[in-house]
Amino acid sequence: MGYQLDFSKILQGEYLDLILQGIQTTMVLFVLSWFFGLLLAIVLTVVRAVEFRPTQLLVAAFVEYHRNVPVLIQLFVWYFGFAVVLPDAVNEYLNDIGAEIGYAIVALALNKAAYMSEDFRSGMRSIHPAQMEAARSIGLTYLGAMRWVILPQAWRLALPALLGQTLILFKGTSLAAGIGVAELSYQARYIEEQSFRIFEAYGIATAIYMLISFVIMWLTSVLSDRFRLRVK
Amino acid sequence: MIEFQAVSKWFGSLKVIKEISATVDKGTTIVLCGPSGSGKSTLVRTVNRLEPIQEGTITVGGMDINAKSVNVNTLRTGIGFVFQQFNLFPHLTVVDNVMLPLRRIHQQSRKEALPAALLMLERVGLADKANALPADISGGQSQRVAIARSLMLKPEVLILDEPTSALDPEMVSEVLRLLRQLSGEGLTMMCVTHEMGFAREVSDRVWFLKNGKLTFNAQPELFFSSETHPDVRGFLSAIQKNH
Repeated sequence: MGYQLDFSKILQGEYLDLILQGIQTTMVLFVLSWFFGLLLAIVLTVVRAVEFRPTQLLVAAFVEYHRNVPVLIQLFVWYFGFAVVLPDAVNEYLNDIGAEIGYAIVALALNKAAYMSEDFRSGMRSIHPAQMEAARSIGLTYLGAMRWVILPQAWRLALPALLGQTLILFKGTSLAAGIGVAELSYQARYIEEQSFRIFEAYGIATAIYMLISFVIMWLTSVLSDRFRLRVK
Repeated sequence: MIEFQAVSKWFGSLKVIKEISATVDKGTTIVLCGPSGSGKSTLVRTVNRLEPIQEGTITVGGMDINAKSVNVNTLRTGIGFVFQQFNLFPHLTVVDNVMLPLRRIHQQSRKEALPAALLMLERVGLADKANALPADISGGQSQRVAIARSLMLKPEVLILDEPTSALDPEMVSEVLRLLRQLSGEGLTMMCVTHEMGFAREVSDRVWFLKNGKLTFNAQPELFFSSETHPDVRGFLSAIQKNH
């Protein structure tokens, strides 16, 4: 084999800039999808908790679609599908401001919201019904009991699963390359094609993904420990 | 203070409370006993509307608790309720559990509520556990915290649904000692329990329920005498055999 590993070619100049831009785009995708996903997950959880069949079914359908269809397809549906129904002028404007990343954030956030709402729901289900009864018997209203007794326990119980979803989302941001978002894995591929430095390009991307994943995993264990709900 | 007038309740087609009429005088302690499934827990749970009734009326302090004008949350702040399984909130420390009614119902700040909560913990002998989590204290201590929490809004009535049944034998006495003390302080209490020593010593009347009916309602002297109701005699001897 005549292949000589040489990272220096990639860790400088234009290629280094591309890697740094890739990291930045990956983090923007990750943080915004996570934030909007969590927000929507809370809404979905509350809507599903209310005993009204039609809205419960709507949420269930939303969850099932996002859990049973590959994320890449969901990205395609937004990027290629949604654009078709929009007027040309709107599409042109969106493309000017970078439609790919917007669609990617929407698709990833919706996908994560489906999973996270299920985590919240299972957290709530594992709280003994007597907790609600005890809260109500003190004189709290239904909403007061939810606010001060049920939800503070539910998020603690759901925390390990939510953090697991966070890690999956972080790695899942690489799928956005499929619709042309210039995130880290997209840049790695571009650098590899330009420089023919296959191992170096993907090696560096791998190292960065692993490093950030390790930080998320470390945070997971610290937070899960800190907020663990101990029930006798 | 509490009056049941021909109260009946059904779970589906099963009638679990059958035309019960009885009165609990202000400042007295009533012990409810009877075989399991006799309706004692269900009956006490109707007093703060944890269980709805289908027939009859229940008045507390002269007020029909099932009247449309009654706000159930306001009603419950005047009636302390203690459960068999304590039902402390596991995400809150002992003192935060005790403070919760003041903070979330009377909207007091932590600073305002803290002195009263600490005083109450001292009263139940647990001032040193204020910052412990429910998972770190014993069953007997948990039940005393639950009692402290139920007393924070100064209810006139305290209802206890088998407060010692989930406790190890050595912890029963610490809870009974507290209840004895509360009973002496003039609180109106209804207590479902199998602790017949407590009934004999502390109660003003003992109610015996069987199959949803209030079969016998007597002062403890008569209840535990040889003149008692034949069903009670059978129940008491069955309990003695188990102890």
